[in-house]
Amino acid sequence: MSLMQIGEPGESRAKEACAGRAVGIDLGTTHSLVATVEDGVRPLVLGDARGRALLPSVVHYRAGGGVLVGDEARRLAAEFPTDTIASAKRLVGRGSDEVRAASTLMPYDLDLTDSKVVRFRVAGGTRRVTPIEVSAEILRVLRERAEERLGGPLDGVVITVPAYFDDAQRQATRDAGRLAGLEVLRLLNEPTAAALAYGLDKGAQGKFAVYDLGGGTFDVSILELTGGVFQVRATGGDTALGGDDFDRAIAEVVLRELAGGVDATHDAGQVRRVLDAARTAREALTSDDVAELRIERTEGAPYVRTLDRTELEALIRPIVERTRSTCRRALADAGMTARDLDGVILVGGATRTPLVRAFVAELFGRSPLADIDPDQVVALGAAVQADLLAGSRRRDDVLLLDVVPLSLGLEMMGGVVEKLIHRNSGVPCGAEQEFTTYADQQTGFDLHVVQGERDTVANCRSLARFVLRGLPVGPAGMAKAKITFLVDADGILCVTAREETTGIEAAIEVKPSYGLTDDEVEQMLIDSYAHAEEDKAARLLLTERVEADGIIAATRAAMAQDPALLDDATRSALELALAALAVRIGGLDHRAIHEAVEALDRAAQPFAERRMNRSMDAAMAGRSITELEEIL
Amino acid sequence: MACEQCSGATGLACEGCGAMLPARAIDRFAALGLPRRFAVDAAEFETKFRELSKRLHPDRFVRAAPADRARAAQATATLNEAYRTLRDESARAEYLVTLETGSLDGNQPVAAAFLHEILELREELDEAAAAGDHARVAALGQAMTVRRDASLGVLRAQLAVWDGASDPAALAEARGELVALRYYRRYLEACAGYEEGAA
Repeated sequence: MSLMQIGEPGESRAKEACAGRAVGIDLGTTHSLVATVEDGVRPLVLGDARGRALLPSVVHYRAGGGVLVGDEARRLAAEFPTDTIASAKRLVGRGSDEVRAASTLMPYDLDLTDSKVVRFRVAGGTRRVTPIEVSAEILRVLRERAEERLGGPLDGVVITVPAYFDDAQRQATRDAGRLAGLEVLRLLNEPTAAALAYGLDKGAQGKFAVYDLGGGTFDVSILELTGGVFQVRATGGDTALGGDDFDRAIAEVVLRELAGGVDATHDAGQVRRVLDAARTAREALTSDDVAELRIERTEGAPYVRTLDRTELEALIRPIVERTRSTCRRALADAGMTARDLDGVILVGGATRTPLVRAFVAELFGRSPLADIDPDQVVALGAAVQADLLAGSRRRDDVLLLDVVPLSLGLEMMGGVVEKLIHRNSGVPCGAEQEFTTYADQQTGFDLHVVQGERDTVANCRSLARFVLRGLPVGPAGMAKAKITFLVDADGILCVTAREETTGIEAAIEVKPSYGLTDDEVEQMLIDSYAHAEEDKAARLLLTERVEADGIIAATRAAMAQDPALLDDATRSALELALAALAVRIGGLDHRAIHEAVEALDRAAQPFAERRMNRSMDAAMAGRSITELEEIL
Repeated sequence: MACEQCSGATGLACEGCGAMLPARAIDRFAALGLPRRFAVDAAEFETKFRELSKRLHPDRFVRAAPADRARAAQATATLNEAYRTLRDESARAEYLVTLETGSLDGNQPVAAAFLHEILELREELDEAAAAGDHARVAALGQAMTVRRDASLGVLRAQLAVWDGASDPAALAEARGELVALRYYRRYLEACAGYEEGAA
């Protein structure tokens, strides 16, 4: 039925009249979405020209230059595994040593020479890009989609992040937004966004838990909704736990079987194919009891095996179990028990898994709510927040009050951490700490800011080192420096220092432990402006080419499969349209390719209808009228 | 400090017209517009916090001048710190007492007998945990919870005296109870840590 995938190009292109142009973006591990509030009331997700709402978070860097994002990039993943980056979010804001320690089944060519940031070697090894730049490519496509649909430049965006993202991961996300040319109004925590979408839609009041299991991250948030105020009481999570891990668990079994029962190294393309097959099988098992895994091999017959739900659940149960203690701690931090809750909300594609639903129901003692599409709910909530912040109609009755997910502190003598801001404190929040010199003639301090719950620096995450200079010269204890922490509404920390006796702002040199410096981001921004137009043209051309290749293959396959359904007139019209398209693909005009695809679509219409009718007949054959009424 | 616009009352936001007031050092009771009293009506407290948040939160100043945005962030940080401290009964008691009578750190004498007793209880707990005797750990935690609750009861009575008569003598007594509560709290944290480790 491949021909039926040919959509109606231009169908959703009509520009809707719109007042405010603020949008919400869910920058997800597996896929990303953009949504807006168009009529001042209800948020809706903006699809692409083909009506697709979900943009796979996959970016392909072509060897000869050019970048592809989304479905078109995903199609090239198995063929060009190292040039095609999926799940970049798992590496955003991470340092090389952290990635080295945790790189399980990542089919990429990683450059780990810079301790502060990981780079992917892409475009046939000719380019090196950071996860921030990969994320920016995704954001840029969503920006263009939104601008096209809304008819003009955007006024601002709200980008969602996992609630448990630390400071470095948040900074990196904000930098990605900047690189994509977006004005980031706010970073919004994903579970809070989901609660906003539910709360406004259902007019809910009371205490809620949001259980958010996405492709690569897990969050749980406990919120209280009272009179329009969405107050987060506690949050917890794991930024390296998600549906991807389910796929990895399946893939590990498959790869071992492929290697004849032993652990072996596999080439990146093979790993990609196995991961994709694992995901397809897992998604099928949401509704089916058995799924088939099929992997083409370079030599010999394809590998085929079945996976049933019992086996899947045995594989993923340990992963799901890891969320239990996090949920318990969040409830305890909120000063509640499961019985105090008025509802549990499910967010994230991985919560479609029946085992996850059963687990949540058992853990919280009630059946969870999932009546808003768990793939879309975060983007919808982000759109609501964007509208509240920048939209045409201000709503003063709604406010989000969020918290800082992880404690912030300073390194003290002996590697002990002194916490200045405790986890689950409402944001914005601040703290002050005074330091005095401990040696005569001392003119500066070295400060080390860390994030985490443990008491020793070694077990926390390093955020930045500050060097404070310019203290007045004198005996020990004379100079006093006051260090001020301020966490803004995005959950990002800002540190300032002031020498108390003289009142001068001491000079602070910031050395972030992870991520890019402001100068590096600035340089990338300048580069991207310089190439913005040619990059966009190259991407449009590549996108149309890949689409066209797919459609040609699908049409040829259908023609070979059902020659009986082809009359001579349709066949020659199809051949003509295919030949015309083949010529256009070689050209540089993306519009010409698009028009040729549309022409092929029109030529294929009678054939596609016949194929559809035939499969309808097949579906209905041998069924009673009552059965059919149930189905239709 | 009076409001520039309507010369209304003090706090972070004017109670008369709701305008954000200039930044300055204020105590946490004043930040929430509360008198320096221990007794707090929980529902009223939450309502006050929400109303002030609606006026001061940076989300209300997204399109404002950078200086106003910075002030909103600072004012909300002050509000949130006050909320966090005063919402919790023990933290509120300790804050009130230190605000009126000075810090407890280093200048509050602790009876040697009390320290000795806590030290022994702590050793017993550590031994039970080391031996994997979960029942014993739980029982010790339970006993300490009872003791802590009794201490809280005493503290409440002392602070009720303060609330009624603003008698500084009531606060002097409360200082002793607060120090004891610190030891109880740390002990209970250790219990919770062991229990979590076991689970």
